[in-house]
Amino acid sequence: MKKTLKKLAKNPRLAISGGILLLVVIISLVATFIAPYDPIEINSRAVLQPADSTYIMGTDQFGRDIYSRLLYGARPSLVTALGSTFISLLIGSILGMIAGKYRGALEQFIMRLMDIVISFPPILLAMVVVGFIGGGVRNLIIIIGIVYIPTFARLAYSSTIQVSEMEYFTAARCIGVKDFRVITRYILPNILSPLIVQASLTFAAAILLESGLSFLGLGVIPPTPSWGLMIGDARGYLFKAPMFAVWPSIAITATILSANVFGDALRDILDPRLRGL
Amino acid sequence: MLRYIVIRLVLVVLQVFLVATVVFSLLHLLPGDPVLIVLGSESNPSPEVVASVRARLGLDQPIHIQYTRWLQDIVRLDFGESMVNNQPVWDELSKRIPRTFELVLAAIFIAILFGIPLGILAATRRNGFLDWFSTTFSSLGISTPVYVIGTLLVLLLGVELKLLPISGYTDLGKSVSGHYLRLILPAISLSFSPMATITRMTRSSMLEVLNQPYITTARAKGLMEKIVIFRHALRPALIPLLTTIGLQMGSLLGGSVLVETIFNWPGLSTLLVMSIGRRDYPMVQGVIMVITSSFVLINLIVDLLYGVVDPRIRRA
Repeated sequence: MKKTLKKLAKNPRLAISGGILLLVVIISLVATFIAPYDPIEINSRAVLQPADSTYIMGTDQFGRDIYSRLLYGARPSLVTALGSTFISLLIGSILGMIAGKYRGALEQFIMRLMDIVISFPPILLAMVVVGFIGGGVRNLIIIIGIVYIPTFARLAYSSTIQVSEMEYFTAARCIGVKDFRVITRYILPNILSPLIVQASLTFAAAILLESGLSFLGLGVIPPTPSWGLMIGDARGYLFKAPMFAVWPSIAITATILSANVFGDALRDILDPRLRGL
Repeated sequence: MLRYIVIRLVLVVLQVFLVATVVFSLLHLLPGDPVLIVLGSESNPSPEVVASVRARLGLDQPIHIQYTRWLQDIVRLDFGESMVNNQPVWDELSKRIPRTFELVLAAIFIAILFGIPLGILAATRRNGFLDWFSTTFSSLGISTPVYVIGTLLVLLLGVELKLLPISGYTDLGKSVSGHYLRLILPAISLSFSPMATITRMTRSSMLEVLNQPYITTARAKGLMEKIVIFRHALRPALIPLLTTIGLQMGSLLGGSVLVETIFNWPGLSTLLVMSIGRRDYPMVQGVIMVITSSFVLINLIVDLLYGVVDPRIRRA
């Protein structure tokens, strides 16, 4: 355990990407204190201002400070991504472990259900549900969480089957270890690292999905600042204020990139078999 | 082989049937009265409106009748009528399907055209500059949202350099050059993510093959490196890519939602966004059925091709 932690700290890719993610988290936490302006305060006398000493990134179409909105904009993305990743990790791994442990009819039912969910492109399912029941962070967390359940279920399922074929597992069954204990003490610790790696990649995918929905106007509800929403707004003013689109683009790409690199680096360390893929 | 095809076909029919079931149930699974969901929460509809919408959507019938009717209708490509203009949903769909497919195919073509050579170059020059470049490029390509790429391309090529038209669609019959000029930007935007994935997969699968003993044999025989790579290594390395490309086509159908919106491309996805906005439920159902069934069909084609390229699969 100590050895793994040391290895983690030494990996430069992991350290840099983790550092950027941590920075984004801190920014979202202290946005209230560091943002120079109120992110939703409309100022009709300062519409689409270029960057200057008053507004370091300029203002948007309602005269709101882009820099302040950018700082606050980290919140919905992070909260949605964390919440939905948690839901899919929790429900998905439980379903996958149950299917892998008990096999038979239950296994078929769970895994075929997952096949159905997976046959829809995620954004499609999310768009329709959000479009008809409404956006907002809470609904986004639920629907994005559901969309990514199959990823974890399949992973936990195949890992559980692998573990059940090991000899120590058979030994545990022979000496009469109870089911619950088998799952928590024998299966879970052995499938944890692929699940953690998948969680960090899903986190990135969830940010991508949330911001895409917000971009379409089907996600975070205005005037709450969100990166996807800001890019969607900026699209109408590309000629007048090109940088309006550039800032949130950088923020969102840097965050997703960090989460992906973090996941990849984590996988290289925790699961050497997959290295280079 | 025939047996394999038949089994696959049966499975596909089953999957499309399940998808149809989900699309049918979606409205019933959402919390609340389906009619009120369709009408939207903001409006406060009169009982007459609610009753008429209920009747139009067939929601006044018992659920098993609704379900069998839905299945019978979609087999005949009858998705009902649009609630906005009362035209058959299929008429609108059939007009837009080729446009979305053109976009997706153009994007996957660009992705393959650049992704595979880049992946091969990276694998053969391991740890060199090109390897570094391709790895960085693919990380960026996977992480950059498609609408960011689209918006930035519009900004750079359309607004700053004024090289290409930034949005809209011209019918091929009206102007051939106008049609393809307007295809370029959306297709490029859409191609980034699959290009990144294809580059990555080509690189890793090529590296794996290059480590095989028979490659060492080929090199030891004194064959030229070019022949080793293109004759011996490439073909087995490309087989797993088929699956990747198929999966990418699927996610492109999803990605097209954002790209079509940015570039005002009148395909299925803009129709979906528009219909959701207008709460035109039959139209929404139709678009989802078409996109998801295409996804399933693409996977079928990939599986069958896989069987052709790799005979070992057929027996399984």
